[in-house]
Amino acid sequence: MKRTILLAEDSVTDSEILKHIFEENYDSYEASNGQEALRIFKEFSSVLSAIIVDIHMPGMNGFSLIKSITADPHWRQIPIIVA
Amino acid sequence: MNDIMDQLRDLDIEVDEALERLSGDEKLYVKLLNTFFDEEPLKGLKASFTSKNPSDEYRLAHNMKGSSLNLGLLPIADLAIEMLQLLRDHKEEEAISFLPEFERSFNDFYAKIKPIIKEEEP
Repeated sequence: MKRTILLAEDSVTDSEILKHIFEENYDSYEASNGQEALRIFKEFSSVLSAIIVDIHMPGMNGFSLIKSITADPHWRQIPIIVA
Repeated sequence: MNDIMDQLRDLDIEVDEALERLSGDEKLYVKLLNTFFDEEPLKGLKASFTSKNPSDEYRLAHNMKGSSLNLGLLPIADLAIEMLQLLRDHKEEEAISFLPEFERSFNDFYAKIKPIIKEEEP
């Protein structure tokens, strides 16, 4: 069974490239800004193996997203990769 | 498809490096080239200058740099890198002055690549 990752990336082109790179081994949720990523993260954190985060996103940026996620000790075990 | 790739190479596009990132999938590559231009990155960048939004100016120039490099679009990446440097150095006036040249070069390049990639769009 494939693992699942969350891609937080506001560029459609880059998101598609990332999805392609990971799709052989991972299913993915995609978010185009920090708020959307945080909402998806909260809903599916139990199945997520990692999060790929773009720093420069509109609204809530990647730094704020990471801060929100790591504020909860339960979520700190999920690896976050800054793209 | 080989002919298309050769036409793209003739435009100084790093086709082979880009294809390496995409497991050699030429159809996906052409689809992503279309996605990049359909996102209208220049329109977004110009709008950010019009609305005087420095964080959007930086973000959109940064996105354009990243996506164009991923796709091997060196002529576009060069423009985005130059714009990004001006914004990093807080040279707002110079960035605004550079915008018409940026737009002209971007549109010239798109006029050359569009007939190649649109013909092959899935």
